[in-house]
Amino acid sequence: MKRDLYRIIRSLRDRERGINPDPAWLRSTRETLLMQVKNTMPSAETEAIRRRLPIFAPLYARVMRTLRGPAVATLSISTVVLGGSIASVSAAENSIPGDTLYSVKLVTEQARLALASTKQDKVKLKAEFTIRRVAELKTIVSTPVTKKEERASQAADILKRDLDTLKQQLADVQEGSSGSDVADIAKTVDKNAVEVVKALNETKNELSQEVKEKVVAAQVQAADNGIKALEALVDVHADAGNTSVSDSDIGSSLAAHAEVAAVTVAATKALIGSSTSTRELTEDAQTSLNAVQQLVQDNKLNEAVGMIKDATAKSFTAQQQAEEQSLALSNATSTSSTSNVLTASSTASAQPALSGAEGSTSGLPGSTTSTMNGTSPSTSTTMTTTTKP
Amino acid sequence: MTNLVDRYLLYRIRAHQDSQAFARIYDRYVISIYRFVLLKLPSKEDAEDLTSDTFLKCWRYVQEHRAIGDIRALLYQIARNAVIDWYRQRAANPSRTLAVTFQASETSSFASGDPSDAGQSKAVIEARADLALIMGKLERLKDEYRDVIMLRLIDGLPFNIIGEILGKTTGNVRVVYHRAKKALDTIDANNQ
Repeated sequence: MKRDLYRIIRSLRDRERGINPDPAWLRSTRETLLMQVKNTMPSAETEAIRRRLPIFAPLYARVMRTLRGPAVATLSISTVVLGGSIASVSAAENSIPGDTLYSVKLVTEQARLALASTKQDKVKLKAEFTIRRVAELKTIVSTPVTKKEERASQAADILKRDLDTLKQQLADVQEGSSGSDVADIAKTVDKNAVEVVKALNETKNELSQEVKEKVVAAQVQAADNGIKALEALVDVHADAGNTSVSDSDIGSSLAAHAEVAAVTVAATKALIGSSTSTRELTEDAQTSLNAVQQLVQDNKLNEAVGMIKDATAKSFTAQQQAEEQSLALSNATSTSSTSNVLTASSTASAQPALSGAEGSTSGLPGSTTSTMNGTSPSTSTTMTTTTKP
Repeated sequence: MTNLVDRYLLYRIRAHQDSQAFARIYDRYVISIYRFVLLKLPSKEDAEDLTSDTFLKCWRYVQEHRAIGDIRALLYQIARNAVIDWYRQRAANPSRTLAVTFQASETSSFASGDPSDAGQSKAVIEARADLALIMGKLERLKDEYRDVIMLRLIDGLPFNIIGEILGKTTGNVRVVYHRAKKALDTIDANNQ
């Protein structure tokens, strides 16, 4: 009988161990409790007042008690409503393309843009977002995530779109705003462009040929933005009545663009298997760059800008060509010999097939030439000149 | 050792107004308090309400700077009084009793269809049946004996905590516990 009792007690204790409160209830109670605790916690200040004025203490307590109920209610409601969204948005801030929360990040950016009141603010925000895209690309490349290529290609697409908008915004401002406004925005765009191009130089080599092309397209767009901004700056500078753009502004911008072009030239030279036309183009770009330095020293700003535009356009076209050739080369090496002439012709024949297979590829050189005001010959013409000899 | 942690947390609350310390106390004891209360009440919902009430009351105690020996003992003490109050209120208001019992069978998770919940309910029902059996055997004991036996054997609390809950010294509780066990033996012997 007695043993029976202890047996039951033991089984009860075992069963009790199987009884667990609802985890959701546990959590929500914890939160409410903490909130109430924080609410009723006297701050050091009020505690001091209470100690100093003992007569008012009961009154104070009563007032606090009546206020507490509604205060707790409002607080808990607002915590649930706002806290949830703040938490999820901040989680989204760290997301990269392909994540579930990435769309939230993009929507948040749209909302911030919509809330910006002035054109300058809008441009600054957009510029900030392009830097974010670049950072995302870097994250994708440097961290072990799944579907790297897909994510990177998405980020590059969005980046290109953002840069497009940025260019549009700059053009809008140039049409109907005062010189100082234009100068302000142009400076932002200019700085942004240089930053984007430089950062992308570091990341693009880690990616596959296909995605790399997209990234290069974004780079071209950014460089183009930068040149447009530089032109806008020079325009404002030429306006005698406006002092918002100084000589040193233009000088530093020119130097930054020259650096970008120089880096691109160096990268192109490093690519193996460049054809003679590409090499010529690269040399041209290099010559233009050297000329820029001379022009800047002679204080011929307008000509220097024209020259840097030429150099940038050439350097990027050369790089794109080099990329395409190396891609075609890797496709063609299995069938053709490595003789120089043969390589050139196989590249030329691979070119149309490639552009037919991929719409984006065929768009690349065309878009460059149109945005660069025809300063460089289109890819197809360079190809024919290569095959002639 | 557990006592030391509790004391540190209590000190954090008092000296630094550290709300996280109270959250730690909640994390440490909420499940055992919940189990303690659940077996004594008709429904899961009542147990949940009473458990959160217990922690809130405990917080007020701490805030009012009353002397607290052991926070765990305090929690059990509050929970025990809350259960007593709950039954007292029910006795004073019989119309509510009906509603409560009806609600208990209706809202408790038996009908909700969630399999894991149903498993839980099964554990609760079995535990309650065991408890009823034990209570049947213990009911002939003095109240004092029964409390000590329950807290010691079912809730598995150490003697010093039981002492604080019941307002006795640790030595006293020890003595009462051994007398209670002896009394149980005599009841058994008489039955046979």
